[in-house]
Amino acid sequence: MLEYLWSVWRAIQLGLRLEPGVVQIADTHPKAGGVVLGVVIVAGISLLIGQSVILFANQVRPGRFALSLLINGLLLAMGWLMWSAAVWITGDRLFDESPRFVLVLRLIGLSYAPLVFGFLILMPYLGPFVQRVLHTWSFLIALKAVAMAYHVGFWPALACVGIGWLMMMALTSTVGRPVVALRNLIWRRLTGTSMDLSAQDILRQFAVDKTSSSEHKGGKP
Amino acid sequence: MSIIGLFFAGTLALLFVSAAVAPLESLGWYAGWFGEKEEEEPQELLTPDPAGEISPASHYLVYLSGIGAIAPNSIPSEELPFIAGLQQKLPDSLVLTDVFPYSVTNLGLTGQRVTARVWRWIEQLRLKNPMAVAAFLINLRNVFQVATSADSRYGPIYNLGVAQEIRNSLVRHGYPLDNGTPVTLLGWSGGGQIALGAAWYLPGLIGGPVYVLSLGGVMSDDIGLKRVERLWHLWGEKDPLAPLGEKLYAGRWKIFPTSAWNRALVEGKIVLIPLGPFTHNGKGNYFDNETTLPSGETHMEFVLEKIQEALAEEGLSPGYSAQAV
Repeated sequence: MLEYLWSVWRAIQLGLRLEPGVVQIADTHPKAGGVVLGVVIVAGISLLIGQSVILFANQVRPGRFALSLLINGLLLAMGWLMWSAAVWITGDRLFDESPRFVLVLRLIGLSYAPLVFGFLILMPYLGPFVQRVLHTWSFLIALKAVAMAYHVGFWPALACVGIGWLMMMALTSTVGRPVVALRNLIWRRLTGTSMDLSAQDILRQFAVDKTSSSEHKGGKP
Repeated sequence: MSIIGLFFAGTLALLFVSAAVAPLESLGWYAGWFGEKEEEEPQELLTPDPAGEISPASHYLVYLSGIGAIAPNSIPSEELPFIAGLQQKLPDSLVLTDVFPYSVTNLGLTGQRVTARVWRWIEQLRLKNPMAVAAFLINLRNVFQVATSADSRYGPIYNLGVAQEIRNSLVRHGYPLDNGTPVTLLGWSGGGQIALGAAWYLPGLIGGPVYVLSLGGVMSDDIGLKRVERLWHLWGEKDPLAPLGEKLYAGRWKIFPTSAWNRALVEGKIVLIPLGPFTHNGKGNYFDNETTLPSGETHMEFVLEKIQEALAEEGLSPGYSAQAV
């Protein structure tokens, strides 16, 4: 287990820089797939910690909170799979080179490495800025990954990633809608809340209430 | 990487992680993860003055200390003469100082926390040497709470907790709920933001109008401005921290005329009171009772005079005789 965690950490470090040598490791290393999956799941957990105000605002209990983190990791892994497939299909049509799907999957997976620092989104004041930086960083690594996998320049890679993204958006808002609905249903069941209360709702809710009967004591009102 | 490089990287990482965990206390409190025990105690105190021993004042002033505060009953010593001066200047008002603005449960850092021993040790160090580096940790911890209050993601939760603690304090001191008795929150430094944040909820919680006095306050364009009757912002020209709010928070920039801050400015809700060459800390600060102005008044006396004047103009401070709490 420790060896695996160490490999995930090393993969995160490789992902953050994504130097050319990474392509060969991603292509040939026997455990690369499992390690990259670990990177994506850790990124998903960390991202949700960073955005956990929604869980707290909806008063999710500690056990369900921990479960939510894990589920978010798995959901991000599903998104990774879809995103990689969209890029691979697009790249296959656009470029002469046709790398194995597994290689594109692994390289795109490494682009999630910056999101491992997603917990820093929690920081007051700086959090939203950090969020933008991490997503931009991740996007730039994905571009570099596509450029390395297909041996193309920046603009062709950008076109591939852009078309892949549009394809994914189109799919999720058409034939993918039942899948999204199922995902939301599973999410609500596991977290035990419909997640419809935001911090702004708290402003409205408690601003109108008066007297000690409305005092929030922590936990369910 | 050299040892010095490692040290700086480690310090920076620690700083980022400390900032990231800062909102968890208030978020966890709201979700009911912790803080309920501390909440139970004030419940009995919520019965407004059962023995009828406290006669209600015509105006209540709640003092919210700066980021150097460590507990409700442990305000930095330089502020104590100022608070005593406030009580003397405002005879018809009751000055309250038992709200710790950097905790949603009013639990001081040296209270029943896992880290209480560390904070007590730091407090001892600070008593021996106010400029000790370790004492800076108190300021840092509280700065993160100020940022939490000003953050639109966490502010609604954080400020709710503090507003409830302010109401509890008012009730403990005989404040008649739903009677329309005015309350002024005086926030010094970071306390200015907390006062503004709590002001969103407080009128609804107490049934009375709420005013805010900021003394060198670092404030955002908090939505609480919509519910305050008036905000007086007193600041010194040599104070580098008070103007931070207008630099850091976009809602205070002039290019956003519809922000809560700019609207309040246009409506005349915000009164800016420049004090002169006052500093934030050290010699010549707002609490300095030795440095004098050309008029012969000390800095502290001048600030007290200005506060008394502002409240009097609003009809909140008609008299001058002394009253102890």
